[in-house]
Amino acid sequence: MAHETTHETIHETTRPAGHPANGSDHAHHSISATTCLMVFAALVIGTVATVWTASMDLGALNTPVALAIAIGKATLIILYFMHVLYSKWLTRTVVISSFFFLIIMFGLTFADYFTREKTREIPSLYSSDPILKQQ
Amino acid sequence: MIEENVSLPRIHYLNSHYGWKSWLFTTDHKRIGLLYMISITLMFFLGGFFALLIRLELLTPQADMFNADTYNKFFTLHGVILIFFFLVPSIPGTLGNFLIPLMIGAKDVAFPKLNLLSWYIFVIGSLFTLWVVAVGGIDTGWTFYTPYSTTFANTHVIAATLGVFFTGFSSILTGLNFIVTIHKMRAPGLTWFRLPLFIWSLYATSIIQVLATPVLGITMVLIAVERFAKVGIFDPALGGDPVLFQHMFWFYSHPAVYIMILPSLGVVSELISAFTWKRVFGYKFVAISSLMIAIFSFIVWGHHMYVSSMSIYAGMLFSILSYLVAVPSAVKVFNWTATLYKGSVSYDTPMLYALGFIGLFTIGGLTGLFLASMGLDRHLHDTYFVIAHFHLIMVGGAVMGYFGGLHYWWPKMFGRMYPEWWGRLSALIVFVGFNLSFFPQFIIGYLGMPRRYHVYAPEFQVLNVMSTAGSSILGVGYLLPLVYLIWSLRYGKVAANPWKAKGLEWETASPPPPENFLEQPIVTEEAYNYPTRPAHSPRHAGKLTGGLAQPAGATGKGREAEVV
Amino acid sequence: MSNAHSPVAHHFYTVEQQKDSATIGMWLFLATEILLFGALFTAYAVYRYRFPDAFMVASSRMDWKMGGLNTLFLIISSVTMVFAVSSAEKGRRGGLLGFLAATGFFGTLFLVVKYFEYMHHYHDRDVPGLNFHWTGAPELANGAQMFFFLYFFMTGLHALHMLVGLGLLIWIFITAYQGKYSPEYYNPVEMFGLYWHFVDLVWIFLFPLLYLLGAHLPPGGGGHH
Repeated sequence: MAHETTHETIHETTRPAGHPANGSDHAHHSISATTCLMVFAALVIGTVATVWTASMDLGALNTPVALAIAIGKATLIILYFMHVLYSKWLTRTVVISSFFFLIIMFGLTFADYFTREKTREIPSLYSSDPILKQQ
Repeated sequence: MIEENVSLPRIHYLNSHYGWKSWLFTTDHKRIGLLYMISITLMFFLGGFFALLIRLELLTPQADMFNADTYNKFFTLHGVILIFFFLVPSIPGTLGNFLIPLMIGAKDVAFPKLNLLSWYIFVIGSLFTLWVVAVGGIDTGWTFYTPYSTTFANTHVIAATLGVFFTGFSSILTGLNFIVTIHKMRAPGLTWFRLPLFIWSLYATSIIQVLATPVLGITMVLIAVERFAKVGIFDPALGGDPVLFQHMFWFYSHPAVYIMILPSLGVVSELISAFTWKRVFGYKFVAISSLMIAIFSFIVWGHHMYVSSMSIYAGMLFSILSYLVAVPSAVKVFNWTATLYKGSVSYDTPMLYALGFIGLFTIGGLTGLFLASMGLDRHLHDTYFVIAHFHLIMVGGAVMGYFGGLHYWWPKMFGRMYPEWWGRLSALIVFVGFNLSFFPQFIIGYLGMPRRYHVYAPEFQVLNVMSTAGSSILGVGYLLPLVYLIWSLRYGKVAANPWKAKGLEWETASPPPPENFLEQPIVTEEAYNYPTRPAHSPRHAGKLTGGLAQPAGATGKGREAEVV
Repeated sequence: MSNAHSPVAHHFYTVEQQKDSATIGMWLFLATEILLFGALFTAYAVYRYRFPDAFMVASSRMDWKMGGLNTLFLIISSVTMVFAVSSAEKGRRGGLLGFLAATGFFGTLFLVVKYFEYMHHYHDRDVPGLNFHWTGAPELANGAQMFFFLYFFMTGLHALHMLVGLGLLIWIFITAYQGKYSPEYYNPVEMFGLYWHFVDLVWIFLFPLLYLLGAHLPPGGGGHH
């Protein structure tokens, strides 16, 4: 950690380490009005589609369809309205990892719920037969 | 180890402003760190007091001092206070707040006001808990298991859950602040792989704090709402599933174990390096292993639930995943051990804590593997074996690391040394007392003594007496530093860098000026730039000039700042 | 903290660094919010898996038209918020104030609709812990109560976020009126925008999962009345 740096390096590095000077940071953030209105239209169409598909009996598919549309709408909002499409990798990493850990919570919780019935089929654990239970 | 001709700087963060307002409205990360230190010290001794009451009751097999209800309240308060109000905020709140900006060459954390706010939120949470203590306690165990906590307990559950909710919120804000600080506030030239390992471990800790704590927060609110409004989200009589509570609770509370231990792992890395006067062996592996531990910590929570009627198949999955955590933990232990090899090891107080840590953490971790295996857990679940296991991690690990770090950075924080002889004595007392407290518990747990009972079978008495004796010794070991550290604030020998340690935090004055560095530091080397092979340990010879000496042909210059 | 003349706080070097820090800090906060609501969505999924029929029937007691209307209100308010941020970026104070007002207007409309919905449920005795009374098939009672508990808890938490958002919006509006924002410094507006969009995002999931489960059932759907 000595201060014996040469002049060139000082010149190179007198900016915070977390802060590259030559990045394309100054690309302007906000999206154009046209893009914004197109996203708006997509969101409205998505809402109508949600209601429309929900009014049909698709059996087991109702929820997956609704979720797919919702995820699509959410993605549009995150990418365009929340500027993630134009943001740095760090912001994107935060967004992705929050959903990643959410999926872990869902996935491992349901690893339990989806297999509970199967657990009950193991005779030695749940059988009323005392001999089987002992094993 | 004695520095000659050191004097305190004229102006430093402790004397730059005076008056209670300059403390309670400060945004200086160093002062906020001290505010945390004072508050968690209070909580530490309060929680420790309950521990002594528990051990006192367990001196004999029958109920002597307390009935079952009182005993239940004591172990609950012991757990709630020490986990949520001491261990979780301990190292991040005190050492983390104090050191992160110093170690990365910044003037402050990224959000100084938020930092102060998080202390206030912590205080609000603590007040809830103290209120609970004052008005009659809570008896659910620190885990708040449903449906007992929601339906049957008639103690102050709502206030206690709100207290935990608040302190959780404080923990989130601290973690958020640290992540942004570490990303955005590093000094020029301080690339990721030049960072001290303490920073890496706090970064990993912060990830857990940010991503896991909200789940605990909402779970606590659900308990409070269920008790208050008599709705049945976790009540089996109304179709609720208590096991869902356990999923949500452990989704936080297992990673929380790593919130408690990861900062200590970072402290120990610093201590091992400073007291062997060597670069940590396998720096990159140790750094990355912190992140791996943080990520793995999220996928193992089910190993707390093998006997909860959770599906056996999920149990198998969790069991396999749990073994993964052993890998990065072992990487750290092996690398520390390798660092000791051919180092110029000195046995100052912080190093004694660090060495104690390595042994206890290893045993604590290995017994964790026993508990992660489903078959063995059937036998050991809810016995004293579990108690001994997690106390080895949390007390033998996290608290030892905290004490080691406190002694190591004490001269940095206050510009004065603690009395070394007393320090070593107390480190030894803590080690002896700790082992005497908890090793017998492995045996009585294995023999079948369940946790959370105030009476037990007479054949366990000998081991319980040993454990109680050990905890009294441990208590003495913890009280000694309280006395001599306070004493040293006034009478300690003035010191600036008594260890001749490397690292950016030692480059500035001790205690540091309010702005940390008088001029912007520029970093050209990694944190542990010790001479590769000291002929005569220069530190013992006392010939080294400050922390600035360079080994011949030292490299490290010219590496470009990595783009973040 | 910050120097009165400079938008850069003393511990930062550049505007850019400060702005980046704020953005990442805000996103980390939103990550905690994602996990916070995520835990509730997990609980929802568990109970829906356990009581599929009860959830469907109970959901048919929702007025999806109100929910749909609210979805539109929130989407519109999100769009106006986007325009508010871009006005701030371009230094147009009038535009900023106007679009903030519009955002606040649609946000308030959302809460008004929500209020009428809640009142309606209260009169129908749908509120667990207060007056829940199930007149449908008795075997669905527990599941229906769970559905309504989750409905009130999740939308309640969402409405709380809306209230906080409106409070913040008033503060942003006042400071914008005072002319505190410029093309160099409009972090608070942008950060508030992120928060507002996030609240919209949550609703986009709440709407189909709470209002539309029973939309394909024949009228009456097996619920009471």
